[in-house]
Amino acid sequence: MCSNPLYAYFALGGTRPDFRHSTTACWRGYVGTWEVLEGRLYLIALTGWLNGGEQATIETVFPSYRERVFAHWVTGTVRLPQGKLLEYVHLGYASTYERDLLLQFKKGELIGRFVRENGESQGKRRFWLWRRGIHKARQF
Amino acid sequence: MLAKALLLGQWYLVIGLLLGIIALGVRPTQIWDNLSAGGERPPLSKVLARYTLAVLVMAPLWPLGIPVVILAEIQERGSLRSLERRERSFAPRMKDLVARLDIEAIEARELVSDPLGGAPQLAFGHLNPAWHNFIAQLPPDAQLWSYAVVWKSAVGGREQRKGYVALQSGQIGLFFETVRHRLAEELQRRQMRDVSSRWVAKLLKSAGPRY
Repeated sequence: MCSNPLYAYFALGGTRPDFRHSTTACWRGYVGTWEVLEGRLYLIALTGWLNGGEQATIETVFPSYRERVFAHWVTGTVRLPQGKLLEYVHLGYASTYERDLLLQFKKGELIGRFVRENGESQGKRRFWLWRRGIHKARQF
Repeated sequence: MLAKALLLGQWYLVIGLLLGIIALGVRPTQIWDNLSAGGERPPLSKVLARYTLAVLVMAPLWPLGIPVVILAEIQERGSLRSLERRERSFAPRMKDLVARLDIEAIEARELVSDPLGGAPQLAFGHLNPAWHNFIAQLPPDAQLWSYAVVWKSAVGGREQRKGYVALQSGQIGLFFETVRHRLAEELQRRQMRDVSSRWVAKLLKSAGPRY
């Protein structure tokens, strides 16, 4: 998923724990697991570490919510890239994949779904050219 | 005399080589990004050749490179400072105000309810403590208004921002934001196709149940 729904929560006034960014591959210091269930977006798991050394879980951000948290603060588009990598960009979520599934939410409720086609990978293009070549060869 | 010039020339090139290696050590991803722009891992021989070439080119030209690096650094820092200034400066304006509401009306329209029990059944749900913190800071004569604005963000994109703002003696005061999201994806909607539920079900299935 190329979106950070929890970022919006912290930006809107939610308390952000003191996450430790132990690797440059994840500056925010946590990984959230999300689920769309019955047309709603839920945070169902969170892993990370705090600067104090303790392990962060979903309850660290949302005390007394262990299993799922309804992401009612999420309004906007969540991008889910799919297919092969077309162009690598060394910047956050700037890389391009074959297609993006875009889920639109309003106050945590799913209101729209779109697919954006970004092209085909060179490998796939080569495969189709190769198949077309075989097909032509058979015609002769 | 000639020996002195040769010695100086040698030192010049040694300094250039060292600076080139240091520069590549500090910014190793620049060349790598260019090489892997096609989304495929470049062969090691190509990577080594490109890095060696970069060092060799930099070695004799390092006096020209230094002002370029300094200028780029100043420019980057300046643009970062300007981004921070613009980011801090957001506040709704009078023309962004939508409707005057009281606390009870706001809490009624912002009540969160989740059948699976994933949020407290309170105004603003998980953000209820932040809301209470906001209203605790309001002066007694403050009027609350809802606002909505499309804001040009510091990083260049457009953001939809909504929330509630306190108006005190006709002046914009504290505000509580409830919506903040980038509009880039929505603006590109024309390039997209709306997918039927069958297609979405297939895509969601291929991506797995969790995201």
